[in-house]
Amino acid sequence: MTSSEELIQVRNLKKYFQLTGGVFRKVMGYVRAVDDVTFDIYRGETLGLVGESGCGKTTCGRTIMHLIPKTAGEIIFEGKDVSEIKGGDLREFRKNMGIVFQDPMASLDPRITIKNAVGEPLLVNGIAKGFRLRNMVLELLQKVGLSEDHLNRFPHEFSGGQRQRICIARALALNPKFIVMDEPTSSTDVSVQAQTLNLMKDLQKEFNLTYLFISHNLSVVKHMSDRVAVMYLGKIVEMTPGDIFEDAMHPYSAALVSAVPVPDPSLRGRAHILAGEVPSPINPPSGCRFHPRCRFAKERCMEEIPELRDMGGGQLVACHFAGELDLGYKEELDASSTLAVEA
Amino acid sequence: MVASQDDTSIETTNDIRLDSDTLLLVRGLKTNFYTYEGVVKALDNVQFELKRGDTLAIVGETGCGKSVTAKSILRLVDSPGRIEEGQILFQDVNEEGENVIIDLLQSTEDEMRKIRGNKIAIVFQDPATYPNPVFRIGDQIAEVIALHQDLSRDVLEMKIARLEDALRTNPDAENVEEITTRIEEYKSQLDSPPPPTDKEKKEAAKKRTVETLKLVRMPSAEQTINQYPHELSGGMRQRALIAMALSCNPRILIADEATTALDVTVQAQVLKLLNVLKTELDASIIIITHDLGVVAETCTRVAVMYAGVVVEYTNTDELFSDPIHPYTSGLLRAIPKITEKVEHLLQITGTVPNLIHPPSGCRFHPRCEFATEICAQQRPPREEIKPAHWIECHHPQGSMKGRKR
Ligand SMILES: Nc1ncnc2c1ncn2[C@@H]1O[C@H](COP(=O)(O)OP(=O)(O)O)[C@@H](O)[C@H]1O
Ligand SMILES: Nc1ncnc2c1ncn2[C@@H]1O[C@H](COP(=O)(O)OP(=O)(O)O)[C@@H](O)[C@H]1O
Ligand code: SF4
Ligand code: SF4
Ligand SMILES: [Mg+2]
Ligand SMILES: [Mg+2]
Repeated sequence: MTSSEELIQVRNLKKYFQLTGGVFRKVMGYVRAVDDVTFDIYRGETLGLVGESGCGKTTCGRTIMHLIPKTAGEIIFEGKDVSEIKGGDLREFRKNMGIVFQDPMASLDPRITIKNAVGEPLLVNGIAKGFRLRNMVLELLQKVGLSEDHLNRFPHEFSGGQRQRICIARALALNPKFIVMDEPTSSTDVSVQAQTLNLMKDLQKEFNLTYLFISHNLSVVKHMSDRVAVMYLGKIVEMTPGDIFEDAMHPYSAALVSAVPVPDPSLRGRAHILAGEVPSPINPPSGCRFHPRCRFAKERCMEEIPELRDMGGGQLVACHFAGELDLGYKEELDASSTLAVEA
Repeated sequence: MVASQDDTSIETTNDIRLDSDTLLLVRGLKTNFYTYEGVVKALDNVQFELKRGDTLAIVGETGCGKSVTAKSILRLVDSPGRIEEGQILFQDVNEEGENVIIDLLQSTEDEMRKIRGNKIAIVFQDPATYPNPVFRIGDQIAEVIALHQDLSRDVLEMKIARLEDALRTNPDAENVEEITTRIEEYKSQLDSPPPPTDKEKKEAAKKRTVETLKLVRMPSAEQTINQYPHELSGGMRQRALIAMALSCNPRILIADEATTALDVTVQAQVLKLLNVLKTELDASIIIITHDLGVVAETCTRVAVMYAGVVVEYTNTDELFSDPIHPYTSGLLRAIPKITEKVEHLLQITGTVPNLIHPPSGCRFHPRCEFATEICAQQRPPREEIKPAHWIECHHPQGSMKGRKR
């Protein structure tokens, strides 16, 4: 149930990683993984975060969860500035949040039974032990479609999809309000992906959860999300409550949309294939970070950083010329014209 | 229209006939892996065909046998794997320009070495581990070229070009006559060029390397040859790999998840490149992928695999407009669509089976909503259910739903 009440407010968030080198581990520069992003996540919604690898999605999710320290900015959870929470309160605060990673095998200890893996957060937080713990774990496993005879098994005895369910069960253990799903189905096959996505939607309803759903797969993000944020090189370039495939207004979002391989031959062909690759976030391009790859770039784009502007209906776009450009990607979806591949 | 699995029993390669536009016919292919846990029946009676000029997709979920199929074609299945049965018929053109048919499974290891890279090349998924990280890009490609290609003509042409260049830049030189006769002499040798020295060969290989990198639209190809793989971006490394695979003008290029690790915008570039090159080089492509989007966008024909079996094989438009096998239609419904938004995706229940103990009969039966008794008992025959549309299923769906045999 999406509401208009903010659960999380992210304000001018920055996360820079230091690059050190040489004998004295001198600071050589910074990776600007997340560079000044501002957005809200509403209670009960799924906010999709999409972009190509290295654009800062994971860093953004982890910084919000306070798993890694931020460089600058504010994260406000239910009205409270997270960085002011200290000590025992921090542990209490963390219970509000869960995370599910892409690779369930890497996040499960191969030597620990499923019962102990899922029960760990309950035990560590002194919520339950013994028989009560076992029953709570069983209840969680049943919520994700597993059963009693799975309790004492080890991770390797499960399929990839089942392991991801175990991770979801563990993320749910402390009754969180907010869960970061970081590429939860990116290493699963489509038949299993459908099971996982359906499960996540059901759980969201049942427990009134708020999701930050991170993925590089635009179709999956569209399916899961109430609103979609598109990231490019550490910045949010577009945020839309509408259908990103229909309404994209930022040239990068449009390029992403037209690059997605669509499983429908009648939509085959794209008139514009984005040239080049994402540049390094160590020395990102000046002005609009997309300008070296943007076919609409003008002089202004090289000098001035575009701010996210409200284009109406809650759609925010960070492009100097948003609304004035003929992105043309909609026609491209059914045009089978062929442009030579650019060098 | 039931075709039995071995409609033509062929003993020797001599009496085989293939349509002139059939480049590769894989038939009855069976590959096992002998592991400690048991025998993995990775491929069971795999059958499909690659037509000249086609881009054929082999699509299916992890572990269904896509890579083993590719490796079987190139006879690269290592121990504990073994190709048990089948034919892999490759229609080649010999030096006299005649079509010859070779059963790759009957070829000697020596013959296979000539085919690998030269006639059939493969590009794998992981550009981080290939090409070899410690050698310069250019040297690696040049080595492949020098190994597989007769460069004597290239060398001679280079010599001629150099002399002609000298004439052009200095037409009044004293030795013009001498140069002209030299050129004539070289030209007369073009049909049977003399063996070049190693140095000449190296130079010719380098020239070809640059040409090949230009072919794959590598920006600044002359500089790239001096770079190491880690100095290139993922997309550029993948281009270098494709260049390496194409450097010997193969007739078939197999791309095994070659774009899976790339970002979508880069994947789009590389896929487009593959299809452009296919036309330019008059090659045919097999694209191995788990992504039905990639299939729809780039391939002309599709083989859908499930648990070591090709369950459906037809042309792309047909597959997407009238999927007949329950697994194919299930997969198509399980993908989130961009054109509609549904609350729940249709899901295929259960998981992919263990191929040490594959399900009896139809390997899909434990997960199939249409399964009946016969499905657990008998493997469905391979059947051309519609023209050029092959399936293995007892209870066809789509437009053939309810059909009586
Ligand atoms: N611990 C780290 N140290 C240094 N750089 C990092 C670290 N984590 C991520 N980065 C860099 O930050 C950028 C964003 O990474 P990430 O958030 O993982 O992107 P995404 O999840 O969108 O693929 C990348 O350039 C990455 O290399
Ligand atoms: N070296 C090996 N040893 C044992 N089993 C193998 C080996 N290689 C592949 N297999 C098995 O063969 C089947 C098909 O594998 P593969 O062709 O790699 O699948 P994919 O479709 O993902 O490429 C799988 O069940 C896999 O476990
Ligand atoms: S600001 Fe300029 S470079 Fe950036 S997306 Fe808009 S038009 Fe392109
Ligand atoms: S043969 Fe039977 S079990 Fe197999 S796909 Fe067809 S209906 Fe389903
Ligand atoms: Mg990530
Ligand atoms: Mg594979």
